Amino acid sequence: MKDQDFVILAVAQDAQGIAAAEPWYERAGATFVGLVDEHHIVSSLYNLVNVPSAVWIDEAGQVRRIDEGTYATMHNLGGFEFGRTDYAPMVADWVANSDASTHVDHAIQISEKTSEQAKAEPAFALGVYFSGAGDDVKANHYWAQAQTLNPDSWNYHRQDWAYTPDEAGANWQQKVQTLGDTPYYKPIQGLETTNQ
Amino acid sequence: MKHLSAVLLLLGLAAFPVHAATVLLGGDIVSVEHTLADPTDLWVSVDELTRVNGFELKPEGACLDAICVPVQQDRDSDIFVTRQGKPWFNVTELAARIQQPYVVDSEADVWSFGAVPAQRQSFIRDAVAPDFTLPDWQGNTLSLSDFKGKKVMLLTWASW
Repeated sequence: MKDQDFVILAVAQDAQGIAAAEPWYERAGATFVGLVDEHHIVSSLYNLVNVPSAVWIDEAGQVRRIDEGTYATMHNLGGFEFGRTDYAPMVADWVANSDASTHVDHAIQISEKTSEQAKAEPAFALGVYFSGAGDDVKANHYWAQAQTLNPDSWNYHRQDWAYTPDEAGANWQQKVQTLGDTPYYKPIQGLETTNQ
Repeated sequence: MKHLSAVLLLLGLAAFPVHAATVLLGGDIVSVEHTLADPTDLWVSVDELTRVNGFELKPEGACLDAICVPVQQDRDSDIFVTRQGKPWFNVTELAARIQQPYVVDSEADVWSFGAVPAQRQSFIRDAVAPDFTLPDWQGNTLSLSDFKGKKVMLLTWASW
């Protein structure tokens, strides 16, 4: 994994910005590049609706694989201990074998966002703006709007709940129950079960 | 100046530069000192256009990378007007034409814009990784394109 031509960009999707992300990065040391993305720009750009997610990008800037829910918990960052021990070898295989790796998705399909999903992003950004300005009423209003516009985005729900920890557990359970048969994370190709 | 503009508004001479606005785009907060008074649309001075949404007004129209929206600049329209010899541009009208989503908080005059769909085509069609620029935790600014020539795994995570 320590191939110098392989870089891990860990992007914190955190509306609390540097302050919330710093303890994690300090613990992790400098084995990867840690970026702070309080507006969820990367999730928006890559159509990611949950964390943690992973995108494999090759030397030419081509997306080779997108996984939602790559590992269940983000602990022991310094050693890259993924929640699933079987994910890291897949990445290593790609680093070694490039496009010949069986883990590369050669038929990658990226769907266009609906206009509502697309509109959720500027609504969310307004929430972040008003939260930063100390106006929690407006922040909650626009975060709720983002959730309504893109109910599939766990990022919006979980960000919002981060501000009301007491309610988070109940909200989480309620939301998971409404999912029914929809998996919380999309199944990871090449692995036998999803990491709920 | 404020009184004068209020009087002009009363006289029906709307669209006089009176108030400030804030624009949110791609994580940036852009303050605009003067906008034309308009209850539904955001008009900025043409000088400010690039700062506000990245577009540049050229003879052929408002352009950003490969996108060019034709704009007639010798007469007033719903996207371009001249007031007191100064050209003004309707940012929300442009957004509507290129299907760029936006949400406004009218009370605080904060206009939040989403991605320009035409700029997402290479990702949607050809899975070309969209570039982005973000601060690292020490405050240095980095872009995905800085790592071209290397394999990159992008990992999103959060403290929440």
